[in-house]
Amino acid sequence: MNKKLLVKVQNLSAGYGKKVILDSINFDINSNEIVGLIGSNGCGKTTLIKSVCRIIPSQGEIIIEDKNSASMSSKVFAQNVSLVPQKSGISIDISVLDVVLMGFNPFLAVLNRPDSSMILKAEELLQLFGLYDRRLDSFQDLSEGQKQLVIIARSLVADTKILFMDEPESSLDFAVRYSMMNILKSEIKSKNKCALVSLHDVNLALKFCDKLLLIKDGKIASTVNLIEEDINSIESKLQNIYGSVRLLTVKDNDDNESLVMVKV
Amino acid sequence: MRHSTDLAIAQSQRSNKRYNLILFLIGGVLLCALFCLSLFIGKYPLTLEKLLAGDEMQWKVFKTLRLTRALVGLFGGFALGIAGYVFQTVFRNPLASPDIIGIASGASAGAAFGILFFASSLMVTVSAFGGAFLAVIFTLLLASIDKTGKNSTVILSGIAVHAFAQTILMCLKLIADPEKELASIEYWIMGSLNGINSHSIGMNIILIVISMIILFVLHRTSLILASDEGEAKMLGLNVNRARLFILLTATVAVASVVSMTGLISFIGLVAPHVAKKLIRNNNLSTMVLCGITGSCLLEAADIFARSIAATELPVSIFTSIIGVPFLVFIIFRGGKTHE
Repeated sequence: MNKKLLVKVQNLSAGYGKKVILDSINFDINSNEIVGLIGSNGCGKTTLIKSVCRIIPSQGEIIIEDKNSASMSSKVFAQNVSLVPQKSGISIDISVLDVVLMGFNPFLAVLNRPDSSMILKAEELLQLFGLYDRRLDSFQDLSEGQKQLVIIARSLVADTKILFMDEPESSLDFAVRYSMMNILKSEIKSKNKCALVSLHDVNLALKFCDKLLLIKDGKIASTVNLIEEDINSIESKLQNIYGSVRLLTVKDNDDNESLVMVKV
Repeated sequence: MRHSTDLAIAQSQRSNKRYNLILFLIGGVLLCALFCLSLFIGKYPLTLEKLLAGDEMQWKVFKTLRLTRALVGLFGGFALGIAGYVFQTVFRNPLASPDIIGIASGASAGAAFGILFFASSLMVTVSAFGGAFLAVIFTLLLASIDKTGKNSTVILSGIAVHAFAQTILMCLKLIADPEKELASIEYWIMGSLNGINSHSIGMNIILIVISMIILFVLHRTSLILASDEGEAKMLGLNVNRARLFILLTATVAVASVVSMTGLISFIGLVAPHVAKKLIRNNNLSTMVLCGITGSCLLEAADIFARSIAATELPVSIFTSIIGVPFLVFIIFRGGKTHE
């Protein structure tokens, strides 16, 4: 498969005030790749996502498809990158469909409104996430998990190449987590996109990601290549983050193997 | 399954449209009625027959007094309602009103300055407009010192500028002649649609119309600003620039109104709440309804202000007297009507 370098992060450091949270972070993300961001609470995952999205100031370089992001306007940046924040800040009544349509905003001139093909696309995504029937309801009437799915749909609707997601699974139940990740994976693989996804659920990361960045104390402690590395090497890297954990191999109904992590 | 839900949604969409249409129809008819009533109510009795017969005095009263007054009620109320909606949306705060960034206090200080140092009523209008605008510029400049550009910083800066403008106003009141100028200042602050300078009204209405058009065009942007700043930025907005532009445009509208009428309280707060109770999900219809509600409120308040007592009363008394029960009624009844 043809891989193309979509994101290159070099020497990224960030912090709040004088406190350093991230220290010299380097990584690449190619097309067709889902990269999981793994680490314990407060290790800097959210800061990393906010820094690469340029929401908080940082030092270092963020290269988006060969271009330095520092020279991009918010609009051009948003045409390439979309974000799923940990929690959306939308605080007013607005229809679910209109929230998803916000995803087209970077591609619309000020005077333009979303056209019928955009509305159709948004409705298809809502159908995929099982929220089509709620499309005219207020976003505020949804459960936290449903809100999260709407924001994920918003990040997918305009087909930006790069997705940054901050714990998109946090308010979803067990089954919906897996169906959400399945949708995400098929979007990424079928449209040559890429994603950087911070996840608390390591088993979700082990099943769906191609690479893991293990963050500890604001640094990348290690990188895991889930396709090529053997189970022992992955296990020892995870033990460095989570202490005494073990990896087990389980098979699904089609004999596909996947790894699960258990605490021992 | 999909077919049946499609049908249900199509039905609910149709009923939504019909509901909105009925709302606009009721609002439109009510506004027209209030506008016509405003033309014919007042100390000097106007009649349609005499007007049609070409009575000179009747026409003079109609053109110079009544028509300007009714027009200011129409455009002023509309602008205050829309500006209130924009402020509440952009600041993500249901209690936000134009005064939150110092418009009203700036305009009061400006008007007091005009009353003290310039004799003409046109200059008082210009001075009030300048005061409102200066206050907002100060607020936004102060807020820009904080590079994070948080909403709370803008609101805190607004409070600081408001306090400062109040101090200036107090100083100006101290040096004012209690018999004449002080009374004028107090009367201006109470707000009235009476005696509006007909020279300034044309320019102010043009400014109101232009700023309304801009706010309608930027409606989608205002809604995106109602999410987190990082989120809005990742939806392609230059958040600080967009917010500054929208706030300044809304300020032009409010300053154009209050520089003509003096302070008119409550419309900017109550009209958006009434409209949002009637059309729950924020969209262009909600915004139009905010404007219509504002116009109706101001026209009705002005009709009461000039017809209840022998002397003309401040209009703000009536915007509150009509607005508060209406809001309470809508809160208790309207919440469940159209989910």
